[in-house]
This record gives sequence, structure tokens and C-alpha cells, in this order.
Amino acid sequence: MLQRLQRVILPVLMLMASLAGQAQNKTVTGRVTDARDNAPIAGASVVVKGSKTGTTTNADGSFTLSAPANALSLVISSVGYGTIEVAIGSNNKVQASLASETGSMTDVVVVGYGTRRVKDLTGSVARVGDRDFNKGQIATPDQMLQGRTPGVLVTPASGEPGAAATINIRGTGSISGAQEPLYVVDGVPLQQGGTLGSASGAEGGTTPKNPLMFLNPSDIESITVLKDASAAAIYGSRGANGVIIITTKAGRGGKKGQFDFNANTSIAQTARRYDLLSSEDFLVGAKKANIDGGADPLGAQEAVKAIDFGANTDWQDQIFRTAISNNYGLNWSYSNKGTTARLSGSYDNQNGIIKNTSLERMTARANLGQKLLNNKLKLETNLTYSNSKNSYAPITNNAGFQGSLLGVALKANPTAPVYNPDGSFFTSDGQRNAVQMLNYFTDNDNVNRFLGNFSAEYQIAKGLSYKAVLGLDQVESERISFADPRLPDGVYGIGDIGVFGVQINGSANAGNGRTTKQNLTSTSQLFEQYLTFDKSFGKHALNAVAGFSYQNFETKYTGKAGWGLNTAVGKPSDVFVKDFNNFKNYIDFVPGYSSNELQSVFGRVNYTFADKYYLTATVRSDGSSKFGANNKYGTFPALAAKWDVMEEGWAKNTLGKLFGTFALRANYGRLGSQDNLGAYAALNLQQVYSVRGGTPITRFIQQGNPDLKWEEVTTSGIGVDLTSKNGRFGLTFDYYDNMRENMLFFAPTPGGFAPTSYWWINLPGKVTNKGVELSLNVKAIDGPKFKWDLNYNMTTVNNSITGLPIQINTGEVSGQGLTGSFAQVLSNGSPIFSWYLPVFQGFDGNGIGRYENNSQNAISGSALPKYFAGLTNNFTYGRWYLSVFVNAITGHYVYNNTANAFFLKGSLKNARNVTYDVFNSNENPFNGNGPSTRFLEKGDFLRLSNLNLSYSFDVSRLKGVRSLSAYFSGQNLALWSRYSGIDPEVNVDKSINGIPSRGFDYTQFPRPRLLTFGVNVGF
Amino acid sequence: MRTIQKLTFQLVAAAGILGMSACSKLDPKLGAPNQIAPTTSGGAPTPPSLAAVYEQLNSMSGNQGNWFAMQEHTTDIIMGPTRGTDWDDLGTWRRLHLHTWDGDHNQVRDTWNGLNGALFQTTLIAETATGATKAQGQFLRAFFRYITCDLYGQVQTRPATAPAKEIPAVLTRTEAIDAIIKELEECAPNLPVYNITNRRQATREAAWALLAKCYLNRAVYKQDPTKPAGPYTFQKADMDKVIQYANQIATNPLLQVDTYYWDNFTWDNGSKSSENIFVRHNGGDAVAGNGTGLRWTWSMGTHYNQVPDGWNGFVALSQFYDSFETPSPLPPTAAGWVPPPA
Repeated sequence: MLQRLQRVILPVLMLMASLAGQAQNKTVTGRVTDARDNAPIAGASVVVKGSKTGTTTNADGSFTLSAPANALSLVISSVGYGTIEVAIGSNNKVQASLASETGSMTDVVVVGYGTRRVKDLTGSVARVGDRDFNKGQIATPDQMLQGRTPGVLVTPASGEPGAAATINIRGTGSISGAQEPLYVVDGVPLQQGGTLGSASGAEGGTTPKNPLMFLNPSDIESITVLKDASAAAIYGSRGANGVIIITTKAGRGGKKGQFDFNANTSIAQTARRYDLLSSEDFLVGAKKANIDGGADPLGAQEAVKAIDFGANTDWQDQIFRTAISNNYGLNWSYSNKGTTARLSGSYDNQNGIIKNTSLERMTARANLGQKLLNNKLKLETNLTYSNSKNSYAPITNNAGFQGSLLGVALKANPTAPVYNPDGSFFTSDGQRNAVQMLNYFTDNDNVNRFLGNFSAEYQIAKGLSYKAVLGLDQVESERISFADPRLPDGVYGIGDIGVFGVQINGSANAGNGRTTKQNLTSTSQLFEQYLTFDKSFGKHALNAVAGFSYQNFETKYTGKAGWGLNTAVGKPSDVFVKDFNNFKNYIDFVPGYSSNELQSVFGRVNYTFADKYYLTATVRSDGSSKFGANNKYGTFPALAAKWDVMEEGWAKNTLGKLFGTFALRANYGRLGSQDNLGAYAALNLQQVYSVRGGTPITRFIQQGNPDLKWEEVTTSGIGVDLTSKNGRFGLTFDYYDNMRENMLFFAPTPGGFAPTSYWWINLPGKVTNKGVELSLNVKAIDGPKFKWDLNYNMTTVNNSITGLPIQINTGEVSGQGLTGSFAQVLSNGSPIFSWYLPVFQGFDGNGIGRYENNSQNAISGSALPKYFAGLTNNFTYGRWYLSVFVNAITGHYVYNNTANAFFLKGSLKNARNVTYDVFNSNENPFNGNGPSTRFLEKGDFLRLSNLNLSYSFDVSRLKGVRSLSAYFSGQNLALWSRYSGIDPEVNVDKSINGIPSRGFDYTQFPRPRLLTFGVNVGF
Repeated sequence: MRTIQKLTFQLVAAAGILGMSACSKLDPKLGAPNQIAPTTSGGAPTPPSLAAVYEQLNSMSGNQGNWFAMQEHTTDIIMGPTRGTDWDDLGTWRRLHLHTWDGDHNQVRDTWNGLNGALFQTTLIAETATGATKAQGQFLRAFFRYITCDLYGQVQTRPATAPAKEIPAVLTRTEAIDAIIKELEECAPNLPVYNITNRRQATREAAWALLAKCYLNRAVYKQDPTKPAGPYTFQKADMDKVIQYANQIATNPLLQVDTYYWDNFTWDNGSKSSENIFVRHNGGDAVAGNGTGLRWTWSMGTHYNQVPDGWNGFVALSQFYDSFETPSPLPPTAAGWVPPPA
């Protein structure tokens, strides 16, 4: 009854008020734009100060408002921007520019199962919005985040378009499998993986591409990083490595709707190349190496004659290219009353700087929202579908003596021609030809991913709502590769055992080609429901969430190899038909299947007293089907508190003289981890299968460990948030301390007396990460036309291992004569990924390496950076906007496995090309190449990673155009480092037995320098 | 007050909705080709197919490293030289040659794991199967114990019913040789008689041959571990057993000493040799499972820059080569590859 009355009375009152006001009102007009690039802001709220009179801006940012004649100023705000107060000028015209949200304390942050105002946050949460993302050619969201926020270290695996990246939040603790944080996209926690490694037949393993390549970067509104237990505990079981919440853009733009179109073109080039010997110097060097190796000058002359093929080939030129890429995106956005809609599509064709490599991507997204039943019921759905097609070059992580594409090109004899006179590929001395590899290995994948959620939220009563969410994440990958029959079998082992992971019936059929096809389907379903209670009682404010979550994961793998052609392919002019069905014989790989479930109940209470004291208590209890019957459940609680000192009465005249904000935070909590654990590690398993056809036999393949339990991380931290009184300086400081124990680890089985040599256990010992984070925002110049602000962030990490029962080796070193070598160790008292190598002391008089302490291995630094920082400078001048971002990573060492495998005097003697460093060194050609600190280098660097210059055109005279801007972005524009390789920011996967490695450089796809030109049009 | 009541009611109702959501028991779900291995009534895992257990022999015949390298590189027959930047492999071959290996040596560790994996699998069959299958499992366990004892001087043992986390008990050489002999004598009567085609499987004759070998060397295994180099005291009773088992084998007319010794090693030794009692077959076998490729036997002796190409370029030491009589019957090669008689 009361409600019905309200419905009648309220409009009447409003009408009366507006009528009453009509007589003495004035009309205020104006335009609201973005402070950075003067782009119009649609849907911004414009309210007369001290009243409820207000309106929202149109698509072009303009507004017309009828204000009381005595109104002096307007309060203007918009989601994602701050709030400002603007005086109404004498001509009743207002021009307002809003600053974007970074550092703004009025901002709303998406946390798990809800949102919080930044002001209300108790834990360590970092948000990066659209405006602060790295720009340019972006394949995956981690690239947008790299360096931009403290505590988050993003290390790409290579420079390949769509390459995987390792992301560590506040150091790293996981010593098995992936160390990835949990990704949550629009409320759906993503499954791991979904992309396939290579089975092309090129020697060695590969790292599958980045599973996040399915997201269209321009759909992303913000990325929130939950860094400590108090923030991440709501995702308890999966939050141990931190949580990254990606929120996509919702519909905005009013009832007329608005379109945005963007197009850009990128040019990618090698940032640096290896300084390899020319043909002439190569022959001189090879001759000298032969003489140094004991040959008489005449013999050396003969030896050099035999390796001089008369050409002058720059093999790096043969594999690298200048790559042009294009990206287009179109979206339509709409909002009216209870309806919001945003539809978007994008097309990317990103070409890599190595020939034949590309990522072609199409994405489509629909984000829809509808309020019903008097706005009590809110239905929302976010649907995205994407198709990515990758084309790969034969580059692997751990090729041996022969090398994969880059290694082959580096060591190739520069006097060797690419082709023979008859058009066939030139090969000599059992060496590979890089151009032949590029032409004769074909390796493509096709990944389809659908991610969707549907949610319904019903307001049961004021302050109490119920929400149910259904989510589906499905990835289908297919990777097909071909190896041409003309590949010389002695060099590639084609027709040999083991090439495709399957022995081809013992018969070596050289020269008949190979194909493999792999299929991987991963599906995850999510069901969640939770209650949210949000109410204030006087000075007390309570926000509570309680819910239930269920998610399942299923992965299916099949693979098949084919060999033998009906039509012989041998001559250069013959055509090798790349059709999987074109072969005579096929064999199946052992299929794979894995499925697991998670089920959780969770609750969180946020309590605030007088906007002064904030308390957050979170608990989540998780069950996983991976553990033994008695250990399925783990409970992960967390507690955080904040004291807003400025709210204290006494603070106004003390701290208030200096500070605008002064708040202290503290947190403590526990998180769990089980993502890296195999789905069936607790079980006894048998396999019923016939490897080569025939009667299936039963193999007892695993004795499980029923005692497995949750890996746990305990985090604690304290923090301070400060802003200066004038608001021009903002500082956030955090100290963190994480400790990981009961680590799930793939350890040797007791006595090896088991079906497998390794099994999963909870390893005794602890890994701790301690450090500080600092972020600083300064508005250096805040003039009407010229603005300069800068953001600095830095993180220190102090990592240490204690209590391990054994020392664990990892970090496989690859190359000729290096089988079985390793360079890294997990050892008590040292940081994770410590280098463990003989200490090189230079060459003796004979050019033979000398090593400390009888060549005993010694710990020599770690691959884990101790310090990393990012600095952004933003300049606005009228319609110009310039953003310059530099980042630095220091305190770590990189292993130059590329040099260890190829850049040796012995290589030169054996007619393999080397760098001028080797040419000039006094190394003896018979000096061994065992791993040592000779190849260990400091990884410190400073990089001009991202520069973005844009101009926003005045479109007031362009009919039908809402906004128009053009921009230029540069990525990896300059690098300052003493590292001798191409780039010290490297991380080739050299794991041993699933124990991860870090900081290896081994003939990976190099990081390019990228220049992007683009336009954005709004209409 | 009414508001609070209403609110309470709504909260309870909402909590009810949450509670109603179906809870999963979180039971693992598997898909082909893997299954949860059932447990026998005695508490041991159900044993695998016998063929899968025979395949454990592949850990010995599969490559040029591990068991083969431990036997050969530690002698002068084969050596893996380092040539400048080539083939150091973190000293794995050098350490075998120089006798400086320890428990960390990759091949010493991997061979141990392979043999103990085989002991685990054979134990499942030997302790839970019945009849001829059990007898074959027993033979195979004795065979792997013999190899393990020979290489490491100790053998691990653990009942099939023991939990996976239990650290196995250790048999000394003295205990191991007795256990091996006991097991072979127990299983021999239940094994099939050798008929050439079953030479890939455990036969009575194979058990006898291994028994003869055990008794012949029994004094060595029984030796005081503080004086491993001897002198040994060979018991007459043991020697009588050797003769007894050798004679038993000789009663099978299908087994003869070959007139031309090298017929045992030719690629067609399957038909040429009448001497090989227990062999691994290069190819599929319904009973004995899949064998391994043998390319390593010749690839290890040549180098990848040679034509035809190879792998490691292993060599024999000159003193060893020269120790053969001149004229040697054949150019000996360590790889076991021998040209046919002229």
C-alpha cells in the first residue's frame, strides 16, 4: 500500500517542484569530456549542487539542464571517472573534463561476488582500467597489464603473437606445474589450458599458446588483481597464486545507441639480431680454430676448403621479416531505462616477425542486461565466441644438437646457399637448412572458445538480494601438422622411432611424409548462487555475502599420426598435398581424458563503523574431487581491517593539515591450491589399451596417494593509503609476507617401487615471499590546457625456501653434448629458481675453461627478480595526449642457453657459425661446453615498453560523428641492458619432471619492436 | 519489529534456496582408456595383463643407456668419449667410465627406478595370480631380482598388499640369492616346456638356466660383503645343482649349442639360433607384449655426422680391441652387430 502511494505521490511532487522551479530557472548547457583525450563522455551525471535537479549527458557528451537561477555550480560524475564540481559561468555554459579513475578513491572495484568502493577496500586489490592498459598490438590481456600495477610480474614466454606468459603475483611459491593466477572473466573462473603443444615432428617440446587469446582486448573494461588472502579468500581453493578478475564493458550510451569503430595497423620488426660472422670472417675463424685445434696450416686450409660453399647467406634475413598486422573492431552500445546492451566484434591478423607465423582471430561478444519487476529482477548475460587460428614455425623449447629453427639459422654456415641449382634445398654435413624447415614443416591450429554466463538477481527485500549464475566455458582446439617427405631423414629422424611420440611399427620409411592431428576439448560448467545483504543502521554498515559454488572441468584429448603417400614426392617441383586424409597408414595416440569437480560454500562480511573502521571476514570451504576421500575439503579463512584515520575528529587539525587521505590496513588469511594436481593422483589407475592395435592389454599405470591434501598459502600484510591535502600526490604502500606449505609436488616414489618413478605428495618445507609494494601518483602539472601526471609503481620480492627434505634440480640445459644437464635448483636457504652451476673463472693459457672449487656446482643468484618497477608519464596538451611507459626489472640472472649450445669455439671449428665474441675469444676449440656461470648473465633491464600518442579531433562540425581520434603506439621501443643475447626478458620452459624453471634463453621467438597506427571513430 | 521478522523470514527462505542446491559427492569420473584399478579381496591391486609385465623387460632392451651402459661403459668394452663441445652430457658417460658415479647419477637412478618398477609389477602377478600366470610372474620377479642384485648388491621387496607409501624392505645379496633360487625352484614345475616359439616367454628351461647361473655364482653372492673381491668358496652342492639344471635343459632336443656362435646375434637369430633360451622379441607379441626397437644397438656406435648417420659415436678401448687374437675370427664390435660369416 505504501509503495502504491509512493508511486502516485512521487511523480506529483516532482512535477510540482519542477513547475515551481520553472519560473525562476536558467538553462545551463555544456559538454563533458575525458580529461586525457577530450573524448566525449556519454551518460555522465550532471547535478546542480545541493539539489536533486540533474540530467545525464548525451552521446556527444553534451547536456542541457534547467537549473535554479541561484545555482552556482554543478556536480559532474561518471562511472569510471572521478567527481568534480564546476562553477556555472556567467553565460550559463559549462565545459567539464573528468579524470579517469586511476587512484580515485570514489571508484568501484569488482571483487569476487560483488563490488566495493576503493575507499571501502580492506585488502590488497589493484585495478587497472581501460585508460591505463598497454596499447598497440595486443593479443592477450596480460600484455595490457604488464608493468602497470605493483606486485604483478608478467613474463612472456616469447615474442610470438599470442605467446603464453607467466604471471606471478607477489613472488612465486608454487614449485610444481603452472604458477598462474586464477582468471575470472565476468564472474566465471576460467579453466586452465585449452591449447595444444606441437606434434609437428620438429625435435623438442613446445609451450602451448596463451589460453587468454580468445578475449578481444577492446572489450575489457577493467582488470582487478586480488593480491592477498583477505581479497582472494572468496575464491579460496583457487586463489593461492592470486586472482585476476577481468570485467568486460557493459552497455552504455543512451537510448539512441552508439557505435565505435577502431582500426589499426602494426609494423613489427626484430628489435635486435645476433652479431654473426660474415662468410669471409667465418672462413678465417674456422681456419684459425682448426690450427688452434692442432691442424697444420695446410690441413686447416684443406678443412676450410671443404666447408666453403661459395655463397654469402645471412640466415637471419632468411627467417625474419617485417610483419604487417591489422586489427579492426566495431561495437554498438545501448542503454535505456532497465536495458543495457553491448554488441562487439573484432578481427585481428597478427603476423609474427618469423616467417609463416601468425595469429588470426575473430571475436564476437554480446553483453546484455535487463531489469524487470520494478527493477527488482535483474537478468544479465555475457556471451563471447572466438576463433583463433595460429600458424607456427618449427621452434621448440629443448632441441638438441640439430637445433630448432632459430638455432639452425644461427649456426648455419654462411657460405652455404639456400638452394641447389636444381631448386632443391641445399644441405651439407648433416646440418639442417632453416629455409627448408620453414617450407617443409607446416603446423597450424584452430581454436574455438565459447564463454558465456547467465545470471538472475532478485531483490528479495531492501538490502537483500539473491543471485544465481550459470556459466559455460568450452574450448575446442585442433592442431594439424605436416612434415614434407623431402626433409632429409638423417637430419630430422623422419621415419625414425619416437618422432611423433609413437613408434611407427619399427619400420623406417624414409621420405614418405608425416602428418599428425591432435584434438583437445575442454569444458567447464559453473553454477553459483549467493545472497547479498547490504544495510546501514545508523553508523553501522553491513555488507554480507553467503553462497554456494559448483564447477566441473572435463578435458578430452585424441591424436593420430599418418605416414606414407600414394604419390611419391621427391623432386623440388612435386606437390606435397597437405591433407590429413592423404596418407596410407595411420596410428592413434593414447587418448586422454580428465575430469574433476570443485564444490564450495563461502561467506564474507564487511562491517563498517562510521566510515572509520572497516572489517572484512571471509571464509570459504572447498571440496575437490582430486583428493583422497578423507581430505577432499579444505577451509580457507581470512580477516582484514582498515582504519580511516582522517575520519577521527582529532585528525582534522593534525594530519589533516598535510593529508587528504590517511588510512591504515592490515590483513591475514589462508588460501588453497590444487590446480596443478592431476585429477586422479589419489587413485590406483589401470589402462586398458592396445598401443599398436591388436588385443588391448591392461596396464597398472599408477599407484595413487590417498593421503593427498590441500596445498596452503598463508598471507599477511599491512598497508598505508595516503593522499596529499591538495590531492596532487597519492601514495599506497604495502608490506606483504606469503608462506606456502604442504606443497603438492611430483616426488620420487618410495624406493622407486611403484608403477611410476614419481608420484604426488605434499612436500614438507616452506616457500616464503616477502616484500614491499609502492605506488605513487603525482599530478605534476594540472593546468587548464596542459596536464602532466605520473604514476610510479615498484615491488620488491624476497623469496626463500626452507625445510625441504631434498635438493631438487630443474632447468634443463639443451644443446649438443648437453643431454641430462641442468642449471637450477630448489634448495634450502636460497630463493626459488636459484642457479646451481660450476663457477667459471675464464680460460687458462690453452683456452680451456677454469672453474672454482674443482668444478663443483655452487648457487649463483636466482632467476627470480628482486625488484621491478614501472613508470608512466601522461601528458595532455589540448587535444593531444601522450603516455610514456617504462619498466625495469632487476636483481635476477638469465641463463644464456643459446650461447651455451651454439656460441663456442668448438662450433666454429666444426663449421657452425658463431658471434664475433666467440671469433675474438681465446677459447680452445676442444674446450668443453658443460653448463657453468660462463653462460649466466645479469638480467637487469630498463625498457621503453609502451608509448602512446593520440589526437582527438574536434568533431563539432562533423555531422553524425561523435568522436574521432587517431593514435600511434610503440611497443618495445628501446631496451637498456648488458645482456649479450637479444632480450633478457625470457622464459623458455625448461622444466624437469613438471618442476618449473625460470629465466632461460634458448632460441625462442624473439620479442619484436612494434609500431601501431590507428583510428577510433564514434558515431 | 515487523521488518526484522520479515527480514528474518526472508533470510531463512533464501538460505533454504542455497541449501537445496544439489551437493556433489565429488567422486572422480574417469574416461577411456583409464579406469580405477580394482582392489583384490586381499587388499592388493588387481594385477595387470601378463603382457604388460613382460613389457617391463623393455626398460633393459630399450636404449643404449641405463642397464646396458652400466654393464658396458663401466668396463673397457665401450666408452663414450667427449669431443670438444660434443657428447659431454653432464659427464654421464665419463662418470661411468671413471667409476665416479653415485646415487645422483642419472643412469644409476633411472635404471634403479626401472628395475624396481618391474619388481613392483611382477610382485603383483607373483603374489595375486594363480597357475601358469603366477609361475611366469614369479620367474620374471626372480629374473629382475637377479639383475638388480647383480647391479646394486641389494634388492627391494614389498608385499603386493602394502600401501604405496610404505618404504620397501631391503634384501642383502645373501638374502636375495636365496629368495631368487627359492622362487625359481617353486615356479619351474608350473612353467610350460620350451618349444622355440615360446622362447619370448618364461619356460621351464629358462628357469633352469637362471637357476644354474644362480648356483654357479652363489658363492660370490654369499661372500662376506667386506671382502667382495674374494677369494670365494664354491660349494660342491652348488656345483652339483649347476650340472643338474644344465643337464635338464640338455634333455630338450630343441635346445642345442650353436655350431656357429655368432648365429645367436644375427638379425634373423629367431630362426638361426638354437641356443637362445629366453629372449625379447623385436615386435608385437600376444603373450609377452610389445618389444622395443633395436636401432640403438648400431646407432650408438656411429656419429651423427657419419654416413650412414648415428648417435653417440661410442668407442671401444684399444687395449680391449687388441686383446682379441690375431687373426680374430671377426672384427669385434661393441654394438653386437656382426657381419655374417664370409
